Amino acid sequence: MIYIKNNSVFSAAHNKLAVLLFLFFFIVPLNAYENQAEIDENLKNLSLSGFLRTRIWHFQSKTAIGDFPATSEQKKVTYQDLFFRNRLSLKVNESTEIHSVFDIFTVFGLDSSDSVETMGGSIGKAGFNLKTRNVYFLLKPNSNFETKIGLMPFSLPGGHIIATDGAGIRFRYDFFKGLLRTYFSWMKAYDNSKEDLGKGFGGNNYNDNDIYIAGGKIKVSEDIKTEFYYTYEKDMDSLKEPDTGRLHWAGIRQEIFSGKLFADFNLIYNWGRTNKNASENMFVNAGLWDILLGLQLKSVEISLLQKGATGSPNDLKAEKSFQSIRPSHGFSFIFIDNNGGISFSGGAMHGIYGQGLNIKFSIISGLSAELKYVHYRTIRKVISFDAQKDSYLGDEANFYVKYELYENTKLFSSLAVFLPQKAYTFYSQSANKRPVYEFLLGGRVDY
Amino acid sequence: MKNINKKYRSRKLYGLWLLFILATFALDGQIKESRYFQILKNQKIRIGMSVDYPPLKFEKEGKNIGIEIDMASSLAEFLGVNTEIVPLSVKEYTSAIETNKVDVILGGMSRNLERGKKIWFSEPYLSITPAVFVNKRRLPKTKFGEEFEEIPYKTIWDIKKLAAFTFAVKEGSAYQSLIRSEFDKHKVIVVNSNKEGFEAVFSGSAHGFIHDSLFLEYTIKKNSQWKNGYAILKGGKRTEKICAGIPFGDTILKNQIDLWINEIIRKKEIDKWFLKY
Repeated sequence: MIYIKNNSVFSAAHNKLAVLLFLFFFIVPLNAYENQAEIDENLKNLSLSGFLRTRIWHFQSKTAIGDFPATSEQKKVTYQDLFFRNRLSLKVNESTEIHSVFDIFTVFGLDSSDSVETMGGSIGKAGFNLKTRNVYFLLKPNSNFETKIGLMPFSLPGGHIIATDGAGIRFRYDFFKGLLRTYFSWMKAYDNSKEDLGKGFGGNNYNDNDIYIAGGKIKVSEDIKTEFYYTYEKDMDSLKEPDTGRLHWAGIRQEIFSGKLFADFNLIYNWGRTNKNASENMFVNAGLWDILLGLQLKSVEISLLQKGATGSPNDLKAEKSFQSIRPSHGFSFIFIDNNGGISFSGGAMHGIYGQGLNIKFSIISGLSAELKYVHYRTIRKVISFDAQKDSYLGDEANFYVKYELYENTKLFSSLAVFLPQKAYTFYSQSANKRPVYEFLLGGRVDY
Repeated sequence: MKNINKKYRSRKLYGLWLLFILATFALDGQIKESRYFQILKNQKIRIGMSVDYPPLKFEKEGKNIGIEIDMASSLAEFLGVNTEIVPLSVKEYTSAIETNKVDVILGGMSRNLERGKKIWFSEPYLSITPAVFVNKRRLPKTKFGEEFEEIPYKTIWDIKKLAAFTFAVKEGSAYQSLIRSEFDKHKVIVVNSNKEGFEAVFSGSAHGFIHDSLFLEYTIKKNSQWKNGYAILKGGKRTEKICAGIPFGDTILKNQIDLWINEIIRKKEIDKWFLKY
C-alpha cells in the first residue's frame, strides 16, 4: 500500500514536473526566443563607433604664451591626455533615429591638485567618466525634411562663430531637388557653452541666453557651392534691465572646385551691442575672413591660406574686435590652435591675421606628412610702453607626421616652433623673444 | 465487383511502376547531364574569371595571380582535374555559363535576383560592401578642434546628405543600378575601366568612384600615397555576397562546389590567400 501510495505521490509529482518541464522547454523558450528576436532586431539597427586617442605633449619656453608664464629659465612641461569618444545611434524606423555621444577623458601630469574623489572615479586633471555630449533624436519624414531635437552639435562654417554642443532644435528643408538647402536652429545655451559676453561678472552667466541660426546652401553647379547664414544671440541679464546683449553675425562661404584647383572663402560681418563692463555698453562693428587656395594632386596637396579678424589683439572689448559665441578654429599648432597643447588663442581671434603655406605629402607607404609655415601680424600696430609701434607678431613652423599602422590604427607626431617678434613682446609686455616649442606624440584607434 | 477492384488495383500498380521507371530514367538523364560528370570525363574544369580584378585576379610579371587563381587550383585539386582559366568581362558572366563556354564562374560575382533567373549561385565565399573612393575635400568638414564634431561621414550612404556629388561608375557593373535606385539626385559619369574611374576622381571630373570595398581597399593599400587626400566610404551593414556561378539547375555540381567552399572556409584557406595578397 505504502508502495502504491508513494508511487501515486511520485506519479502526481511526476505529472507536475512533466508539466513544468513542458512549460520550461516549450513555453519559456518560445518567450525567450521572442525576446531574443526583439533584442536582435534592435541590435541590427544599433550602430556604435568612435575612437580612442592618447597624446603625450611636451612644450618648453621662456616666453609667456596663453597660460604659460614667462620664465627666466627654459620651463618644460610634459603631460599625457586620453580621450575616448563613443557614438551610439539607433535607427528606430525608416524616419526616426536616436543619436548619442559620450566621452571619457583625463589628463595626467598637467596638474596634480585634483583628487580622485572629485573626479567621479577618474584620475588626472579635469578627468571625467562618461560625459554626455549629445543625446538627440532625428526625424526624417521625407528626404527633403529633417528635424533634430535634444542636446546636439551646433556649428557654422569654419567654426568661427560657433562649434559647440548645446540643447535646442534644428530644422532642414530642401527645395528644388536639393539645389537650395535651408536650415534653422534655435539653441538654448547650456553649461560652458556660453562665454560671459562682457557682462563684467567673474564667472559665466547662463541665464536667458538664446542663439538663433538661419541659413541656406545653394548648389550653383557641381563645383560651385555657396552657403549664407545669419546668427543672432540674445543675451538677457536677469540682474540688469534692459537686456545686455544683442549680437548679430552674417556670413557667406564660397567653395569652388576647378579640376585639381580648389578655393574656399569665408567672410563674416559681426555687429550689435554687448556690455563693456558691468555698467557700460559697447557697440560692435567687426569682421572675420578666412581664405584658402589650393592645388590637389594624387599624393601632394599645396595650399595658400590667410585668416584674420578685425579689432585689437589684446582687447576683446574694443569696438572692432570680432566677437564669437563658442568658436573652435585653429590655424597653426601654437598661435591660433584648437587642437590641444599650448596656444595663444584656442579659438577666439581678433585684431590678428596670419598667412602662410601648407603642404601635405606622402613619404613612404603608410607614412604621410604635413608642413606648414604661418606669418602672423596684428591688424593695427601695437604700441609698447616706450611708445614704439610694430605689427610683426611672429612666425610659426609646423611639421606633422602620421603613420598608419593598420586601417584603423594611426600613430602621429608633430613639432611646432613659434618665433615671437617685436609686436608680440609689446603685447606680452616682455622683452623676451625666445622661441616656443611644442612636441606631440600620439596614437589613435578608430572603431 | 471483386474482380473489377483487382483489375483496377493492378492497373494502378502498373502505372506506379511506369512512373518510377520514367523518374529513374529522368534522374539518370539529369545525372548524366550534370556538368560535374563532363568535368570528370574531360579531366578539365573551365573556370570563367575577370580579366583584371585585384586582389581576386590580376597579372604580375606576365603571370595570373590572385585569390581566385588560388581558389581555382584548390577546386581542381578537389575534383582531381586540371584547370582552364577563361578571361571574361563582367557582362559575359551569365551568358558564358548559359552557352557552356565555361563550367563555373569564379570572378568576384555578387549574387543578385537578375542573375539568379539565368544561373545558380554557390554558397558565398566572400562578403563585400559597395564603397566609394572619394576626394576628402568634397566632404563637408565635420570636426572642429580636438573634441567637437558633427556626425562624421563614415559610409557611402552618408553621400545622400550631399546636394552636389558626381559618381564615376564602371560600365556593366552592379553599381550602375545601385546609383539609379539609391542616389537618384546625384550626377553619374560612366567609365570603361577601373583606371578611368580613379583618373576621373583625380582630375576632378568625378568626386567619387564607386566599386566594391574589396577592390578599393586593395587599391588604396597598394597606393597609400593617395590617403592624404582621398578616403574610402564603405557600405556599413549592407553587404553583398560573392559566390561561384553554376549552370542553372545543376544540383550535383552545386552540391560539390558548396561542399568545397564550406571546407575552404572552415580550414581558413581563404584567410591565408587574403594575407598572401
